[in-house]
Formats: sequence, C-alpha cells, structure tokens
Amino acid sequence: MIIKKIVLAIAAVFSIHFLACSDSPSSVGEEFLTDDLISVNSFDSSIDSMDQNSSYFKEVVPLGNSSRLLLGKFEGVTASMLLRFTFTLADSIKEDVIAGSTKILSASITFTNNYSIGEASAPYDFAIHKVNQFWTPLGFSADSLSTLSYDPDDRIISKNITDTLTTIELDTSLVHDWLLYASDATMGSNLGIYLNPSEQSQKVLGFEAFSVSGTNYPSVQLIIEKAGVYVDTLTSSIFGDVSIVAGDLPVADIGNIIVQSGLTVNSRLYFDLSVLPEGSVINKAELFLTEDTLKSKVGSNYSSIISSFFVIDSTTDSSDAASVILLTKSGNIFSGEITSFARSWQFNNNNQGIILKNYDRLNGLEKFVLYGSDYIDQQLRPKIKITYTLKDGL
Amino acid sequence: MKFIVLLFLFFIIEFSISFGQSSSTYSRYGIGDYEYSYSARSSGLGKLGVAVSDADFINSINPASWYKISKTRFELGISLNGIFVSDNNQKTYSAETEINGFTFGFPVASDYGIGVAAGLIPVTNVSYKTSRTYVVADPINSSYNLSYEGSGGLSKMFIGSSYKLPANFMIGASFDYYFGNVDYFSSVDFIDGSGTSAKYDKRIVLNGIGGTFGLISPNLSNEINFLSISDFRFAGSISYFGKINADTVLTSQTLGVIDSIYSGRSDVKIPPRITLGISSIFSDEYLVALDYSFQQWSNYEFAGKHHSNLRNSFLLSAGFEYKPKRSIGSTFWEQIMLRAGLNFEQTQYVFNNIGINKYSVSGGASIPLGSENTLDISLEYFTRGKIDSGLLKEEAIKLNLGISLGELWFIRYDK
Repeated sequence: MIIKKIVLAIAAVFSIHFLACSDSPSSVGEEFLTDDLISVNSFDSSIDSMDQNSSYFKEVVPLGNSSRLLLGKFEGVTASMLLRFTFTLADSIKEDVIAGSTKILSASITFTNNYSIGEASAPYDFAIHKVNQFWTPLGFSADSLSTLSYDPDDRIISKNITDTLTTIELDTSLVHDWLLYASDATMGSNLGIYLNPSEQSQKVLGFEAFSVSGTNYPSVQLIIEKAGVYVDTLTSSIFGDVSIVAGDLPVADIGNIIVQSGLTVNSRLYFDLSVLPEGSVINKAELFLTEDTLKSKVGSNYSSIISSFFVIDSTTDSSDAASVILLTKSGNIFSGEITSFARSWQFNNNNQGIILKNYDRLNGLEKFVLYGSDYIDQQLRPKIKITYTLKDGL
Repeated sequence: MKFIVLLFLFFIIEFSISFGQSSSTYSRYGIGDYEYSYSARSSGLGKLGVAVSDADFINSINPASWYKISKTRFELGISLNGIFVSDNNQKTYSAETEINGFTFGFPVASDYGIGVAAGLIPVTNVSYKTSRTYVVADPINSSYNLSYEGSGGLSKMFIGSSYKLPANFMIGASFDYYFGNVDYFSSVDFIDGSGTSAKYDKRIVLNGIGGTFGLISPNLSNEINFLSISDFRFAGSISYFGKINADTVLTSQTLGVIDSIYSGRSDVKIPPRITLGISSIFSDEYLVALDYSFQQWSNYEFAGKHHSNLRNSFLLSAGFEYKPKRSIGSTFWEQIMLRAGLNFEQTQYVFNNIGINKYSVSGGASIPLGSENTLDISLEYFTRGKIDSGLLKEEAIKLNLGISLGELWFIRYDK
C-alpha cells in the first residue's frame, strides 16, 4: 500500500510538472543558429530585374454553351447566329398540315435583349436565311462559317427592336416547312435559320440564349388556321442555338496584349523566375496587370475578371483547365495570387508561363487591352511580386 | 506488477503527446549534448560510476561491471526535463519528457564472471526551439513567425559480456551499433495566412559501429586496510566510435510539396570517450564513487571539417550511495536506497571564445518493489553557461524515473 502511494505521488508530480504548460518558444538562443537561419524576402519585377515576355493570339472556340446570343458588327468583329426551333403538334394538326388544309396567318420570333456593345444609335440590321446543312451548337464555330450552306433569300418580313425585345416577323412559308417536317419526318428536316448582320451594322446586340434554367430564350409564335374549323396559336421551343463570332486578330499598340471574349483572344505571359535564389521557397506570388482603359472596349453587361491558366505546353498554348486563378479588377489593375503557379514553376523547374483569358469569354465581345511586357513604360508592364523564404548557407 | 505496468503505460501515453525542449540552441553544435546517463540510478549517483558493480544494476558505462549481475534484469528509464533558458533580455521555460532507454542483462557463468547485457540507450541529444515574430508594416505582406527547432540525436544499441581474468581483474566489451536522426527545422508561418508556410528540414541520418571496453580491478580493500572499507576498486572504460556515416538531406516543404535541395553522405568522426574512476564501499552499506571522463571533441569532424565551436570536454563526478544490507524482517523504509551526486562538466561547447561549463547536483532513491525489483527516482538540478558575453544560461530540473526488474531465469536443476 505504501509503495502504491509513493508511486502515485511520483506520477502526480510528473503529471503536474508535465501539465504545467511550457512557455511559447521565444527567440532565446536564435543567434546561435547561424547555418539554419532563414529570411523572408520580397521580389518585385517592376523594381528588380526579371525577364518577361507577352503576346496574344486568337483561339476559335464554339460558343454553343453561351447563355447569350450575339448578332451584329463591331470594330471588325461580325457576330451571327444559328437557330433551330422544334414544334410539338397535336396529331390532328399534323394531319391537317400534311393534308395541306392549314394556313399560317403569322409567324414571329421574339428575342429578349440583354446586351449591347457599340453606340446605341449606331446603324444595325440583319437578315435571316434558311439553313441547308446540319449543325450542332457545340460543333459549329467561326472556322465552320465559310462552308455554311444557306439560302441567300432574306426571310424577314419585318422587325421591331426595342431596348428589351427584338421581334421579327418571319416569312410564313419558312415556318410552314418547319410544321411540315414536324408532322412528317419523311418530308424533310428543319435545319434552322442563320441570322447574319448587315455590312452597315456598327453594333452588336445580345439576346438570351437557351438554357435549362432560362425562361426568356428565343421562341417562335405562329397563328395557324384551318379555314372554318379553327384558328390556333402555337409556340415553339428552341432546339439549338449558337453564336458565331468571326474576325481578324485585333491589333494592339506596340507592346500591349489583348484578352477578348467571343472572338476569342487570349494572351500569353511569361516571367523568368530563375532570378530567384536557388533553394528559395515561394510563399506568395501576386500578378498585377494594368489595363489601357482607353483602348479597352466593353459592353453593357460584363465581368471585370480575367482568368489565368497554368500552361502545360507553350508550343500548343495548352493549359490546365482546372488550374484557373481569377484576376479581379480594382481601378485599372487586374490582380490575383498565383502562388501555386509560381511554386510549380520553381518546384518542377518547368515554367511555360500563363495564359490569360477573359473570364466571361463566351458571352460578349469585351476586349481588355493590357500593357504588355514590351510596353515602353516599365511601371505599366505586367508585374509579379513574390514573397519568398531563403535559408542561409545555400 | 500489474500496477507497475499500468503506471508505465500511463507515462508512455503521456509522453507520446509531450512536446517541448530539453536543451538550448547550444545543442545545435556537433551532434548535440552528450548523454552520460540514461537511468535514474546512475543519475542520482552523479552520472558515472565506472567502477561500480552491482548485482541489482546494469552499468552501461563499463561492460566489465556486468560480472556481478546475479539475476536476469530489465531496466527502463524515463525522464522529464524542465528547463529555463535565458539570455540578457529574456527567459523562457520549457518541459520535455523522454523515454531514455532500456537495458537487459543476465548472468551466464558467475564463476567466470560472465554476464551478458544488451540495451538501447541515448548517446547524444539535440533539443531546442526558438521562435520570433516579425511585424511587417506592408499592406501586401503580412507579419510572420520564424521558428527553429532541433530534435533527435544519436542512440546506441549494444550487446556485450564481461569476463573474469586471473587475479580477479574483470574485463568487458560490448559491440555498439550507433544510429539516429537529427532534424534541424527552420520554418516561416504568416500570421494572417496571407502567405503559405514554408519549412526547411535538414535531416542527418547517422549510423555506424563502435565498441565499449572496460576494466575493473580486483577488490583492493585488503591492501588499503583503511577504516572499514570492504571494497575498493578502480576501473576504466573507453567508448570507441568507428566509422559513423551521416546521410544528409536538405528539403524545403510547402503546401505538402517536398523539394529536395541537397543530399549527400559524409563521414562523422566522433572522438572516443575515456572514463576512469574509483569506487569504495564502507561498512558494506556506503558507496562512494569518483570518476573522470573526457572526450576530445576538438577532433570531431563532420565531412572532414572540424567545428570551431567545439573543444575537449571532461566530466568530474562524485557520488554517494546508501544501500542497506538485506535482512529478514526489514521494514519497507529500511530497504530504501539513497543516493547523492554532484559533478562538474567542461562541456564541448565554446562560443565567443568562452567555454560553456555545467554544474550539477543530484539525489535519488530506490524504492523496493518486492525482493528483486526497485523503482528508481532521481532529481537533478544543473546550470550550464551564463548570460554574459552574449551567451545563454540554462537552469534545469531533471526528474528521472526508472524501473529495475530482476528474476531468476535460466535455472539449471541438478538431476
């Protein structure tokens, strides 16, 4: 019993001693660690010397996933559209359509306007053509446009464009064909329409495109009559839509770069991080891009964000889609923390740079002009600011 | 016995969550502080006792002493260190618990003085932590902490035997396998998380072989014939370090990514440690031991380079033990063994041309747990260094707890 008491007393002393919290580590004795000392340093490419280069290029992508349809012309860019509607008809109407006993009294397409770029008063017009080839929203891009087959005839009877709606009265014979194809598939296929802006157009309007959650996407309303039997109003659903934005690579001032949605234009950016001391560890890297606001062009509704991507292969401009880091805008500066990029460049000793893309690159024609690596004023060039740790004795 | 096992489990669990430091940044130099003693018993006796032979104690300093092991014996040592480290401006306290090591021994042929022992015990110890906050008045960069930590050390796994020579001289030798890791961490942590943390880890993995050789004289009490001395011996031992390899890897770590900066293999030359001492027993109950141990750390080399902050070290130790004679009918209190010791160490460290010295005083007891088992306790206070001349002063209390279990094994019965 005595032994147990003694042992328990010792255990208690140990525990109390142990549980008596140690002080937080202090700096006592730090000066004796000369070989192990580390320091936190900063590197600013606008102050310290670092090679960098930048350029921009066009990347044609299908805009079928866009939530906006674009139509018009603006600063060398032509936006046109392909649409296809589908009709769900009652069997009785199908029989009447096939029998040729119906007549379409009127047909119109309604678009909900949600975007514009260019002067509001600028001239604007377009035509609608019947398409003669099959297409898909995700398979048709600006590169496909030159081979698009469509009738040259404009099928518009009239159009009415307000700030919120664009209503187009269609040639009823075009819509009659669609009803016929919907009633009897052996009669032919509805390949849709092609909306093409006039040469005189100097602005682009945007309309709400089809989306699962959307309610205001384009639709066709028609009034059909079977003489003496009925007059009915039918509304179609949109089956497929895609914008086609075509144009040459825009020209920027010397040394500048561009990111533009719709067309689309991306930029490449490269910083030579080999100037950082060997063995350093990057704690933080921030990228700053200065915008030439006088040269940039934006529409009525857009995001002031640039997406930056980690480049996997600079020879093909391929990047890791999952690596995106957003650069948000404050004043005329886009900035974001690209620590993971910088650390990967350093760790893998493989730096193929960054690709910059407009964050909302499918839904507009925003053009952000940025001062590039060769811009004459060094303070306006892309800047990377790095906080890094370095161990002594390396 | 179940109670003892539960108690040690309690400590082991407690130690598994322990943290802290048991030394200062002095231990950054060489391969750390030299550990003279792993057990509460030798710690209470002033740490050495090269000439002490005891049937109830495995003396890890001198293999020749194992001739006296009379039963199969297992010993385990653990300790808690509370240390104050101060400089001219500040003082900090830290505590650390450690499992010191264990030994196992058994007699083979008592007539020939053959006893065998093996164990795993620490040789050196690196243990420090420092941290400093840097406040940055920059809207982009935040304030940060720079922290440094050293941990690990060299350990020894040994197995050896004693043997009785003519004229009752005892010799012993052990084969020692040295191994261990030493990590030197340097890390940065940003206070508001605006930057990612980074850590450098310089890890040195040590391994090599060596040997310890010892000699104990016969009992010279009859030649001395002084007072009531019943046993008087002198002894010596040498721990020789053979080729010690050091594989060094320097890595940086951040966000789970480990980048190797440097790796390479070097040779470490650790000078041998020589210990000389005498022990004397008065009235069959009182033991006095005096020892001197030295090591030429000025010859220490890492990758062929000497270290300017190391010098030759020595330890002067004196110990006293009261061990009551066993007799039938003794009460519990009459069986308790008591110890006291003190020592002076000229450590291997020298900074700013000033050597770092250490003074230590200790006391302890062995509490009987049955006829062959004891619970050993010692409490040591030491002070090392000073705060003048930009140096550090350490003041520490070290509480050692050991258990020594003995049983009769390997008994051969006559038919």
